Amino acid sequence: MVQGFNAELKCQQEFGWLLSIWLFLSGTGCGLFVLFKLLELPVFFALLGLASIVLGGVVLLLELGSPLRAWRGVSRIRTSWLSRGVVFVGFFVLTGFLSVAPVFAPWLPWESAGLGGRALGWIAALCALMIVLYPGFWLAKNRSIPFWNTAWLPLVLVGYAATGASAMILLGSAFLRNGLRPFDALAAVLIVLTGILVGVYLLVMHRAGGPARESVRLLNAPPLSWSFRLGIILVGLLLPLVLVLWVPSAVVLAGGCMLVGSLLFRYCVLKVGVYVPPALVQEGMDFSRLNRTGTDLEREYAGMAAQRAGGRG
Amino acid sequence: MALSVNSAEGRKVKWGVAVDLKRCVGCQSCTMACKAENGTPPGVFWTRVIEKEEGRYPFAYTVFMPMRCNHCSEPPCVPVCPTGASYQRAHDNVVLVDQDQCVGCHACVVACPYEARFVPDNARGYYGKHTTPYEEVAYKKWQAGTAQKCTLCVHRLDVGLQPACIDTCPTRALVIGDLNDAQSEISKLIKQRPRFQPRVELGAEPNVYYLT
Repeated sequence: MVQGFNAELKCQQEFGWLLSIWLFLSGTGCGLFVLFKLLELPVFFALLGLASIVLGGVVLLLELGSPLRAWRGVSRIRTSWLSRGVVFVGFFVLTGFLSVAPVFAPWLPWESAGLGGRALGWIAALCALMIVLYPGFWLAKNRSIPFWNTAWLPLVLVGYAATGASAMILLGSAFLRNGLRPFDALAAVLIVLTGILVGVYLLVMHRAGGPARESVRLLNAPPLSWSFRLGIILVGLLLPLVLVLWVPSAVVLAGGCMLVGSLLFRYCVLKVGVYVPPALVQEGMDFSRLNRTGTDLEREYAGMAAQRAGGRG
Repeated sequence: MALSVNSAEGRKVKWGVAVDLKRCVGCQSCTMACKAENGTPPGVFWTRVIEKEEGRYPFAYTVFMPMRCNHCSEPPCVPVCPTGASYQRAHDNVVLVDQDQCVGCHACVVACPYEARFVPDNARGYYGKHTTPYEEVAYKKWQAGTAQKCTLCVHRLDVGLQPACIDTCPTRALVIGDLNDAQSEISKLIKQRPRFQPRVELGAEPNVYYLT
Protein backbone atom coordinates (compact mmCIF):
# COMPACT_ATOMS: atom_id res chain seq x y z
CA MET A 1 0.00 0.00 0.00
CA VAL A 2 1.20 3.48 -0.78
CA GLN A 3 -0.21 6.64 0.68
CA GLY A 4 -0.81 9.49 -1.71
CA PHE A 5 0.51 12.94 -1.14
CA ASN A 6 -2.13 14.75 -3.14
CA ALA A 7 -5.49 16.01 -2.02
CA GLU A 8 -7.74 14.66 -4.74
CA LEU A 9 -10.77 12.43 -4.22
CA LYS A 10 -9.47 8.96 -3.47
CA CYS A 11 -11.06 5.52 -3.43
CA GLN A 12 -10.46 3.11 -0.60
CA GLN A 13 -7.82 0.53 -1.49
CA GLU A 14 -8.42 -1.96 1.30
CA PHE A 15 -11.31 -4.03 0.02
CA GLY A 16 -11.53 -5.84 -3.30
CA TRP A 17 -12.42 -9.26 -4.65
CA LEU A 18 -12.01 -11.25 -1.44
CA LEU A 19 -14.40 -9.11 0.54
CA SER A 20 -16.81 -9.00 -2.42
CA ILE A 21 -16.83 -12.80 -2.58
CA TRP A 22 -17.42 -12.97 1.16
CA LEU A 23 -20.31 -10.50 0.92
CA PHE A 24 -21.71 -12.48 -2.00
CA LEU A 25 -21.41 -15.91 -0.37
CA SER A 26 -22.69 -14.90 3.04
CA GLY A 27 -25.54 -12.79 1.62
CA THR A 28 -26.65 -15.38 -0.91
CA GLY A 29 -26.25 -18.34 1.44
CA CYS A 30 -28.16 -16.74 4.28
CA GLY A 31 -30.82 -15.40 1.93
CA LEU A 32 -31.25 -18.94 0.68
CA PHE A 33 -31.64 -20.29 4.20
CA VAL A 34 -34.29 -17.67 5.00
CA LEU A 35 -36.17 -18.57 1.81
CA PHE A 36 -35.78 -22.26 2.69
CA LYS A 37 -37.65 -21.64 5.94
CA LEU A 38 -40.23 -19.25 4.52
CA LEU A 39 -41.06 -21.27 1.41
CA GLU A 40 -40.48 -24.71 2.94
CA LEU A 41 -38.00 -25.70 0.25
CA PRO A 42 -36.23 -29.08 0.11
CA VAL A 43 -33.46 -29.54 2.70
CA PHE A 44 -30.89 -29.46 -0.12
CA PHE A 45 -31.24 -25.65 -0.18
CA ALA A 46 -30.59 -25.37 3.55
CA LEU A 47 -27.38 -27.33 3.09
CA LEU A 48 -26.44 -25.15 0.12
CA GLY A 49 -26.98 -22.04 2.23
CA LEU A 50 -24.92 -23.43 5.10
CA ALA A 51 -22.10 -24.49 2.78
CA SER A 52 -22.13 -21.05 1.22
CA ILE A 53 -21.74 -19.26 4.56
CA VAL A 54 -18.96 -21.64 5.65
CA LEU A 55 -17.14 -21.03 2.38
CA GLY A 56 -17.69 -17.29 2.86
CA GLY A 57 -16.11 -17.56 6.28
CA VAL A 58 -13.04 -19.23 4.78
CA VAL A 59 -12.77 -16.43 2.22
CA LEU A 60 -13.03 -13.84 4.99
CA LEU A 61 -10.20 -15.56 6.83
CA LEU A 62 -8.05 -15.11 3.72
CA GLU A 63 -8.84 -11.38 3.78
CA LEU A 64 -7.59 -10.99 7.34
CA GLY A 65 -4.03 -9.89 7.92
CA SER A 66 -3.69 -12.25 10.89
CA PRO A 67 -6.28 -15.03 10.37
CA LEU A 68 -5.01 -17.14 13.28
CA ARG A 69 -6.37 -14.53 15.65
CA ALA A 70 -9.83 -14.56 14.10
CA TRP A 71 -11.27 -16.02 17.32
CA ARG A 72 -10.70 -12.64 18.92
CA GLY A 73 -13.37 -11.24 16.62
CA VAL A 74 -16.13 -11.68 19.20
CA SER A 75 -14.58 -9.31 21.73
CA ARG A 76 -16.50 -6.12 20.91
CA ILE A 77 -20.13 -7.11 20.44
CA ARG A 78 -21.29 -3.89 22.10
CA THR A 79 -19.80 -1.59 19.46
CA SER A 80 -18.61 -3.50 16.40
CA TRP A 81 -20.90 -4.86 13.69
CA LEU A 82 -18.12 -7.21 12.59
CA SER A 83 -18.00 -8.67 16.07
CA ARG A 84 -21.78 -9.09 16.13
CA GLY A 85 -21.55 -10.70 12.71
CA VAL A 86 -19.12 -13.33 13.97
CA VAL A 87 -21.59 -14.21 16.73
CA PHE A 88 -24.51 -14.39 14.27
CA VAL A 89 -22.47 -16.65 11.97
CA GLY A 90 -21.54 -18.93 14.86
CA PHE A 91 -25.15 -19.28 16.00
CA PHE A 92 -26.38 -19.68 12.42
CA VAL A 93 -23.97 -22.48 11.54
CA LEU A 94 -24.67 -24.29 14.82
CA THR A 95 -28.47 -24.01 14.82
CA GLY A 96 -28.72 -24.40 11.05
CA PHE A 97 -26.82 -27.70 11.02
CA LEU A 98 -28.67 -28.95 14.10
CA SER A 99 -32.05 -28.12 12.53
CA VAL A 100 -31.37 -30.24 9.43
CA ALA A 101 -29.15 -32.87 11.06
CA PRO A 102 -32.00 -35.36 11.85
CA VAL A 103 -32.54 -35.80 8.10
CA PHE A 104 -29.12 -37.45 7.91
CA ALA A 105 -28.88 -38.76 11.48
CA PRO A 106 -32.27 -40.17 12.46
CA TRP A 107 -30.89 -41.35 15.80
CA LEU A 108 -30.77 -37.78 17.08
CA PRO A 109 -33.31 -37.09 19.85
CA TRP A 110 -35.19 -34.38 17.87
CA GLU A 111 -36.79 -34.31 14.43
CA SER A 112 -36.47 -31.67 11.73
CA ALA A 113 -40.26 -31.39 11.51
CA GLY A 114 -40.72 -31.57 15.27
CA LEU A 115 -40.93 -28.66 17.69
CA GLY A 116 -37.20 -28.73 18.51
CA GLY A 117 -36.11 -28.93 14.88
CA ARG A 118 -38.48 -26.17 13.82
CA ALA A 119 -37.40 -23.92 16.68
CA LEU A 120 -33.74 -24.45 15.78
CA GLY A 121 -34.58 -23.75 12.13
CA TRP A 122 -36.29 -20.46 12.93
CA ILE A 123 -33.43 -19.37 15.22
CA ALA A 124 -31.06 -20.15 12.34
CA ALA A 125 -33.27 -18.20 9.92
CA LEU A 126 -33.26 -15.21 12.28
CA CYS A 127 -29.46 -15.37 12.51
CA ALA A 128 -29.31 -15.70 8.72
CA LEU A 129 -31.39 -12.55 8.37
CA MET A 130 -28.96 -10.71 10.65
CA ILE A 131 -26.02 -12.02 8.61
CA VAL A 132 -27.68 -10.59 5.50
CA LEU A 133 -28.11 -7.25 7.25
CA TYR A 134 -24.93 -6.73 9.25
CA PRO A 135 -22.38 -6.18 6.43
CA GLY A 136 -24.63 -3.39 5.18
CA PHE A 137 -24.83 -1.86 8.66
CA TRP A 138 -21.07 -2.17 9.05
CA LEU A 139 -20.32 -0.45 5.74
CA ALA A 140 -23.04 2.15 6.29
CA LYS A 141 -21.45 3.15 9.59
CA ASN A 142 -18.34 4.46 7.82
CA ARG A 143 -18.85 8.21 7.70
CA SER A 144 -15.54 8.55 5.92
CA ILE A 145 -17.06 7.06 2.74
CA PRO A 146 -20.37 8.79 1.91
CA PHE A 147 -21.29 6.28 -0.81
CA TRP A 148 -21.59 3.60 1.87
CA ASN A 149 -22.78 5.90 4.65
CA THR A 150 -26.46 5.59 3.80
CA ALA A 151 -29.41 3.46 4.91
CA TRP A 152 -29.93 2.54 1.25
CA LEU A 153 -26.86 0.31 1.18
CA PRO A 154 -28.13 -2.33 3.66
CA LEU A 155 -31.44 -2.29 1.78
CA VAL A 156 -29.79 -2.89 -1.57
CA LEU A 157 -27.62 -5.63 -0.08
CA VAL A 158 -30.76 -7.32 1.29
CA GLY A 159 -32.28 -7.03 -2.19
CA TYR A 160 -29.23 -8.66 -3.74
CA ALA A 161 -29.15 -11.36 -1.06
CA ALA A 162 -32.76 -12.25 -1.92
CA THR A 163 -32.04 -12.11 -5.65
CA GLY A 164 -28.98 -14.32 -5.25
CA ALA A 165 -30.98 -16.76 -3.14
CA SER A 166 -33.72 -16.96 -5.77
CA ALA A 167 -31.00 -17.50 -8.39
CA MET A 168 -29.73 -20.44 -6.33
CA ILE A 169 -33.28 -21.81 -6.24
CA LEU A 170 -33.50 -21.49 -10.03
CA LEU A 171 -30.18 -23.28 -10.42
CA GLY A 172 -31.03 -25.92 -7.83
CA SER A 173 -34.47 -26.59 -9.27
CA ALA A 174 -32.85 -27.76 -12.49
CA PHE A 175 -31.14 -30.55 -10.59
CA LEU A 176 -34.13 -31.62 -8.53
CA ARG A 177 -36.54 -34.24 -9.82
CA ASN A 178 -39.65 -32.20 -9.18
CA GLY A 179 -38.87 -28.73 -10.53
CA LEU A 180 -39.68 -25.58 -8.59
CA ARG A 181 -41.35 -23.66 -11.37
CA PRO A 182 -43.58 -21.47 -9.17
CA PHE A 183 -40.45 -19.72 -7.94
CA ASP A 184 -39.70 -18.23 -11.36
CA ALA A 185 -42.23 -15.52 -10.58
CA LEU A 186 -40.53 -14.87 -7.23
CA ALA A 187 -37.19 -14.43 -9.04
CA ALA A 188 -38.78 -11.96 -11.46
CA VAL A 189 -40.29 -9.90 -8.64
CA LEU A 190 -36.98 -9.86 -6.74
CA ILE A 191 -35.05 -8.80 -9.84
CA VAL A 192 -37.44 -5.89 -10.39
CA LEU A 193 -37.35 -4.87 -6.73
CA THR A 194 -33.55 -5.04 -6.60
CA GLY A 195 -33.32 -3.06 -9.83
CA ILE A 196 -35.54 -0.35 -8.35
CA LEU A 197 -33.48 -0.31 -5.12
CA VAL A 198 -30.22 0.00 -7.07
CA GLY A 199 -31.70 2.82 -9.17
CA VAL A 200 -32.94 4.76 -6.14
CA TYR A 201 -29.65 4.18 -4.28
CA LEU A 202 -27.57 5.52 -7.14
CA LEU A 203 -29.93 8.44 -7.72
CA VAL A 204 -29.81 9.43 -4.06
CA MET A 205 -26.02 9.18 -4.06
CA HIS A 206 -25.75 11.21 -7.26
CA ARG A 207 -27.92 13.93 -5.76
CA ALA A 208 -25.91 13.90 -2.52
CA GLY A 209 -22.98 15.42 -4.45
CA GLY A 210 -19.31 15.45 -3.42
CA PRO A 211 -17.60 12.09 -2.92
CA ALA A 212 -20.91 10.17 -3.23
CA ARG A 213 -21.51 11.64 -6.68
CA GLU A 214 -17.91 10.86 -7.58
CA SER A 215 -18.58 7.21 -6.63
CA VAL A 216 -21.55 7.11 -9.00
CA ARG A 217 -19.42 8.72 -11.70
CA LEU A 218 -16.71 6.10 -11.20
CA LEU A 219 -19.29 3.36 -11.71
CA ASN A 220 -20.00 4.83 -15.12
CA ALA A 221 -16.39 5.44 -16.08
CA PRO A 222 -13.66 3.00 -17.13
CA PRO A 223 -12.49 0.59 -15.83
CA LEU A 224 -15.68 -0.21 -13.87
CA SER A 225 -18.22 0.95 -16.45
CA TRP A 226 -18.14 -2.44 -18.22
CA SER A 227 -18.71 -4.32 -14.99
CA PHE A 228 -21.50 -1.96 -14.00
CA ARG A 229 -23.39 -1.51 -17.26
CA LEU A 230 -22.79 -4.89 -18.83
CA GLY A 231 -22.30 -7.09 -15.78
CA ILE A 232 -24.68 -5.63 -13.21
CA ILE A 233 -27.42 -3.98 -15.26
CA LEU A 234 -27.58 -6.06 -18.45
CA VAL A 235 -26.36 -9.51 -17.41
CA GLY A 236 -27.34 -9.28 -13.75
CA LEU A 237 -30.81 -7.74 -14.00
CA LEU A 238 -32.27 -7.26 -17.49
CA LEU A 239 -31.23 -10.51 -19.17
CA PRO A 240 -32.38 -12.82 -16.32
CA LEU A 241 -35.67 -10.91 -16.10
CA VAL A 242 -36.32 -11.55 -19.79
CA LEU A 243 -35.25 -15.18 -19.50
CA VAL A 244 -37.35 -15.88 -16.42
CA LEU A 245 -40.44 -14.26 -17.89
CA TRP A 246 -40.27 -15.38 -21.50
CA VAL A 247 -37.76 -18.24 -21.87
CA PRO A 248 -38.65 -20.79 -19.16
CA SER A 249 -36.21 -23.32 -20.57
CA ALA A 250 -33.29 -21.00 -19.77
CA VAL A 251 -33.87 -20.49 -16.04
CA VAL A 252 -30.49 -22.05 -15.24
CA LEU A 253 -28.80 -19.44 -17.42
CA ALA A 254 -30.93 -16.78 -15.74
CA GLY A 255 -29.82 -18.01 -12.32
CA GLY A 256 -26.17 -17.93 -13.36
CA CYS A 257 -26.53 -14.39 -14.73
CA MET A 258 -28.18 -13.20 -11.52
CA LEU A 259 -25.32 -14.61 -9.46
CA VAL A 260 -22.71 -12.94 -11.69
CA GLY A 261 -24.51 -9.60 -11.38
CA SER A 262 -24.87 -10.04 -7.64
CA LEU A 263 -21.13 -10.63 -7.18
CA LEU A 264 -20.15 -7.77 -9.49
CA PHE A 265 -22.47 -5.35 -7.69
CA ARG A 266 -20.71 -5.97 -4.40
CA TYR A 267 -17.29 -5.61 -6.04
CA CYS A 268 -18.20 -2.34 -7.72
CA VAL A 269 -19.78 -0.86 -4.58
CA LEU A 270 -16.62 -1.62 -2.62
CA LYS A 271 -14.23 -0.35 -5.28
CA VAL A 272 -15.92 3.03 -5.72
CA GLY A 273 -15.89 3.90 -2.03
CA VAL A 274 -14.50 7.44 -2.21
CA TYR A 275 -13.24 9.09 0.96
CA VAL A 276 -14.36 12.53 2.05
CA PRO A 277 -11.45 14.64 0.78
CA PRO A 278 -9.42 16.90 3.05
CA ALA A 279 -10.61 20.48 2.82
CA LEU A 280 -7.37 22.27 2.11
CA VAL A 281 -8.85 25.65 1.46
CA GLN A 282 -11.29 26.81 4.08
CA GLU A 283 -13.48 29.84 4.33
CA GLY A 284 -11.63 32.65 6.03
CA MET A 285 -8.22 31.76 4.61
CA ASP A 286 -6.64 34.87 3.14
CA PHE A 287 -5.22 34.29 -0.31
CA SER A 288 -5.60 37.89 -1.47
CA ARG A 289 -1.83 38.41 -1.62
CA LEU A 290 -1.53 35.42 -3.93
CA ASN A 291 -4.01 36.94 -6.37
CA ARG A 292 -2.00 40.05 -7.13
CA THR A 293 -1.75 40.98 -10.79
CA GLY A 294 1.58 41.25 -12.59
CA THR A 295 1.38 45.05 -12.50
CA ASP A 296 0.73 44.96 -8.75
CA LEU A 297 3.75 42.72 -8.24
CA GLU A 298 5.96 44.95 -10.40
CA ARG A 299 4.88 47.98 -8.38
CA GLU A 300 5.49 46.15 -5.14
CA TYR A 301 8.96 44.97 -6.21
CA ALA A 302 9.82 48.47 -7.42
CA GLY A 303 8.70 49.84 -4.05
CA MET A 304 10.80 47.28 -2.20
CA ALA A 305 13.84 48.04 -4.39
CA ALA A 306 13.42 51.77 -3.79
CA GLN A 307 13.11 51.17 -0.05
CA ARG A 308 16.33 49.11 -0.08
CA ALA A 309 18.17 51.72 -2.14
CA GLY A 310 16.95 54.44 0.26
CA GLY A 311 18.16 52.41 3.21
CA ARG A 312 21.63 52.08 1.72
CA GLY A 313 21.78 55.79 0.82
CA MET B 1 12.44 19.67 23.05
CA ALA B 2 10.92 19.06 26.45
CA LEU B 3 7.19 19.29 26.82
CA SER B 4 5.59 21.29 29.62
CA VAL B 5 2.24 19.96 30.76
CA ASN B 6 0.37 21.38 33.73
CA SER B 7 -1.06 18.07 34.79
CA ALA B 8 -3.43 19.08 37.56
CA GLU B 9 -4.39 16.28 39.89
CA GLY B 10 -7.10 14.07 38.40
CA ARG B 11 -7.49 16.13 35.21
CA LYS B 12 -7.46 14.23 31.95
CA VAL B 13 -4.96 15.47 29.43
CA LYS B 14 -6.38 16.17 25.98
CA TRP B 15 -3.49 16.23 23.57
CA GLY B 16 -3.97 18.47 20.58
CA VAL B 17 -1.78 19.52 17.70
CA ALA B 18 -1.96 22.92 16.06
CA VAL B 19 -0.69 23.20 12.51
CA ASP B 20 0.13 26.70 11.39
CA LEU B 21 -0.59 26.65 7.67
CA LYS B 22 1.05 30.04 7.28
CA ARG B 23 4.31 28.56 8.52
CA CYS B 24 4.24 25.16 6.82
CA VAL B 25 6.48 25.15 3.75
CA GLY B 26 5.79 21.54 2.74
CA CYS B 27 9.35 20.38 3.39
CA GLN B 28 8.22 16.91 4.58
CA SER B 29 10.62 17.06 7.53
CA CYS B 30 7.83 15.78 9.77
CA THR B 31 7.24 12.91 7.34
CA MET B 32 10.88 11.87 7.45
CA ALA B 33 11.25 12.40 11.20
CA CYS B 34 8.29 10.08 11.77
CA LYS B 35 9.81 7.49 9.44
CA ALA B 36 13.14 7.65 11.23
CA GLU B 37 11.59 7.53 14.71
CA ASN B 38 9.03 4.81 14.11
CA GLY B 39 10.58 2.78 11.27
CA THR B 40 7.38 2.50 9.26
CA PRO B 41 7.39 0.20 6.21
CA PRO B 42 7.72 1.36 2.60
CA GLY B 43 4.72 3.32 1.36
CA VAL B 44 3.36 3.92 4.85
CA PHE B 45 3.49 7.43 6.29
CA TRP B 46 1.94 8.01 9.68
CA THR B 47 2.29 11.71 9.04
CA ARG B 48 2.66 13.32 5.64
CA VAL B 49 2.22 16.72 4.06
CA ILE B 50 -0.30 16.65 1.27
CA GLU B 51 -0.36 19.39 -1.26
CA LYS B 52 -2.79 20.85 -3.73
CA GLU B 53 -2.34 23.37 -6.45
CA GLU B 54 -4.89 26.14 -6.40
CA GLY B 55 -5.59 28.97 -8.82
CA ARG B 56 -4.35 29.33 -12.38
CA TYR B 57 -1.13 30.66 -13.85
CA PRO B 58 0.13 33.30 -13.16
CA PHE B 59 -1.76 33.23 -9.88
CA ALA B 60 -1.17 29.60 -9.05
CA TYR B 61 -0.07 28.59 -5.59
CA THR B 62 0.40 25.40 -3.61
CA VAL B 63 -1.44 24.75 -0.38
CA PHE B 64 0.28 22.41 2.08
CA MET B 65 -1.47 20.47 4.77
CA PRO B 66 0.31 18.10 7.17
CA MET B 67 -2.02 15.12 7.68
CA ARG B 68 -1.87 12.75 10.62
CA CYS B 69 -3.98 10.85 13.08
CA ASN B 70 -6.17 13.40 14.83
CA HIS B 71 -6.38 11.39 18.06
CA CYS B 72 -10.06 12.25 17.99
CA SER B 73 -12.17 12.58 21.10
CA GLU B 74 -14.77 10.31 19.43
CA PRO B 75 -12.49 8.15 17.26
CA PRO B 76 -14.55 6.27 14.64
CA CYS B 77 -11.76 3.69 14.29
CA VAL B 78 -12.15 2.40 17.85
CA PRO B 79 -15.77 1.16 18.02
CA VAL B 80 -15.56 -0.66 14.66
CA CYS B 81 -12.68 -2.84 15.83
CA PRO B 82 -14.04 -6.36 16.42
CA THR B 83 -11.25 -7.38 18.79
CA GLY B 84 -10.70 -4.31 20.93
CA ALA B 85 -7.18 -3.95 19.52
CA SER B 86 -7.90 -0.30 18.74
CA TYR B 87 -8.30 1.67 21.91
CA GLN B 88 -8.02 5.09 23.44
CA ARG B 89 -5.87 5.55 26.53
CA ALA B 90 -7.87 6.18 29.68
CA HIS B 91 -5.78 9.10 30.97
CA ASP B 92 -5.57 11.02 27.71
CA ASN B 93 -6.96 10.89 24.19
CA VAL B 94 -4.12 9.05 22.44
CA VAL B 95 -5.55 6.36 20.13
CA LEU B 96 -3.37 3.27 19.89
CA VAL B 97 -3.42 -0.25 18.44
CA ASP B 98 -2.56 -3.34 20.45
CA GLN B 99 -0.93 -5.28 17.62
CA ASP B 100 -1.03 -8.54 19.57
CA GLN B 101 -4.84 -8.42 19.42
CA CYS B 102 -5.34 -7.04 15.91
CA VAL B 103 -6.66 -9.47 13.27
CA GLY B 104 -5.96 -7.14 10.34
CA CYS B 105 -9.59 -6.87 9.21
CA HIS B 106 -9.04 -3.35 7.78
CA ALA B 107 -12.31 -2.13 9.34
CA CYS B 108 -10.52 0.69 11.16
CA VAL B 109 -8.63 1.68 8.02
CA VAL B 110 -11.80 2.50 6.10
CA ALA B 111 -13.51 3.96 9.16
CA CYS B 112 -10.81 6.59 9.68
CA PRO B 113 -11.77 9.77 7.80
CA TYR B 114 -8.15 10.92 7.86
CA GLU B 115 -6.64 7.90 6.11
CA ALA B 116 -4.28 7.61 9.04
CA ARG B 117 -4.33 3.84 9.53
CA PHE B 118 -2.39 1.21 7.64
CA VAL B 119 -2.15 -2.56 7.42
CA PRO B 120 1.19 -3.50 5.82
CA ASP B 121 0.95 -6.99 4.37
CA ASN B 122 4.65 -7.76 4.72
CA ALA B 123 7.77 -6.64 6.51
CA ARG B 124 9.92 -6.11 3.44
CA GLY B 125 12.25 -3.15 3.60
CA TYR B 126 12.99 -0.38 1.15
CA TYR B 127 15.75 -2.32 -0.60
CA GLY B 128 14.09 -5.55 -1.71
CA LYS B 129 14.42 -8.87 0.09
CA HIS B 130 17.11 -7.92 2.59
CA THR B 131 16.41 -5.45 5.33
CA THR B 132 19.01 -2.93 6.37
CA PRO B 133 20.40 -3.06 9.93
CA TYR B 134 18.21 -0.06 10.77
CA GLU B 135 15.11 -1.75 9.34
CA GLU B 136 15.89 -4.92 11.26
CA VAL B 137 15.76 -3.03 14.51
CA ALA B 138 12.93 -0.65 13.62
CA TYR B 139 10.61 -3.27 12.12
CA LYS B 140 10.48 -5.07 15.47
CA LYS B 141 8.17 -2.26 16.63
CA TRP B 142 5.25 -3.47 14.49
CA GLN B 143 3.78 -6.65 13.03
CA ALA B 144 2.90 -7.26 9.39
CA GLY B 145 -0.78 -7.98 8.81
CA THR B 146 -1.96 -5.79 11.67
CA ALA B 147 -3.08 -2.19 11.81
CA GLN B 148 -0.62 0.53 12.65
CA LYS B 149 -0.92 4.28 13.04
CA CYS B 150 0.57 7.42 14.53
CA THR B 151 1.12 6.87 18.24
CA LEU B 152 1.78 10.56 18.85
CA CYS B 153 5.19 9.15 19.84
CA VAL B 154 3.84 8.02 23.23
CA HIS B 155 7.27 6.63 24.07
CA ARG B 156 8.54 10.21 23.94
CA LEU B 157 5.39 11.90 25.18
CA ASP B 158 5.30 9.80 28.34
CA VAL B 159 8.82 10.92 29.30
CA GLY B 160 8.04 14.58 28.65
CA LEU B 161 9.39 14.88 25.12
CA GLN B 162 7.61 16.18 22.03
CA PRO B 163 6.73 13.81 19.20
CA ALA B 164 9.54 13.51 16.63
CA CYS B 165 7.60 15.27 13.86
CA ILE B 166 6.91 18.31 16.02
CA ASP B 167 10.45 18.45 17.36
CA THR B 168 11.80 18.39 13.81
CA CYS B 169 9.62 20.99 12.11
CA PRO B 170 12.08 23.68 11.00
CA THR B 171 9.48 26.43 10.78
CA ARG B 172 7.77 25.56 14.07
CA ALA B 173 4.53 25.10 12.21
CA LEU B 174 3.52 22.29 14.56
CA VAL B 175 2.63 22.84 18.19
CA ILE B 176 1.50 20.17 20.65
CA GLY B 177 -0.12 20.74 24.00
CA ASP B 178 -2.95 20.04 26.38
CA LEU B 179 -6.23 21.38 25.06
CA ASN B 180 -7.75 21.08 28.54
CA ASP B 181 -5.20 23.55 29.90
CA ALA B 182 -6.32 27.07 29.06
CA GLN B 183 -2.78 28.37 29.69
CA SER B 184 -1.05 26.01 27.25
CA GLU B 185 0.52 27.45 24.10
CA ILE B 186 -1.84 25.48 21.88
CA SER B 187 -4.96 26.70 23.72
CA LYS B 188 -3.80 30.28 23.37
CA LEU B 189 -3.00 29.83 19.68
CA ILE B 190 -6.41 28.32 19.01
CA LYS B 191 -8.08 31.19 20.82
CA GLN B 192 -6.13 33.86 18.97
CA ARG B 193 -6.02 32.57 15.41
CA PRO B 194 -8.63 31.66 12.82
CA ARG B 195 -8.63 27.88 12.59
CA PHE B 196 -10.47 24.82 11.40
CA GLN B 197 -10.60 21.17 12.32
CA PRO B 198 -10.41 18.71 9.44
CA ARG B 199 -13.71 17.11 8.41
CA VAL B 200 -15.21 18.07 11.75
CA GLU B 201 -18.68 17.52 10.27
CA LEU B 202 -18.06 13.75 10.44
CA GLY B 203 -18.45 13.91 14.20
CA ALA B 204 -15.11 12.47 15.27
CA GLU B 205 -14.14 15.58 17.27
CA PRO B 206 -10.60 15.70 15.88
CA ASN B 207 -7.90 17.25 18.05
CA VAL B 208 -5.76 18.66 15.27
CA TYR B 209 -6.36 22.34 14.54
CA TYR B 210 -5.21 24.04 11.38
CA LEU B 211 -4.40 27.68 11.93
CA THR B 212 -5.05 29.84 8.88
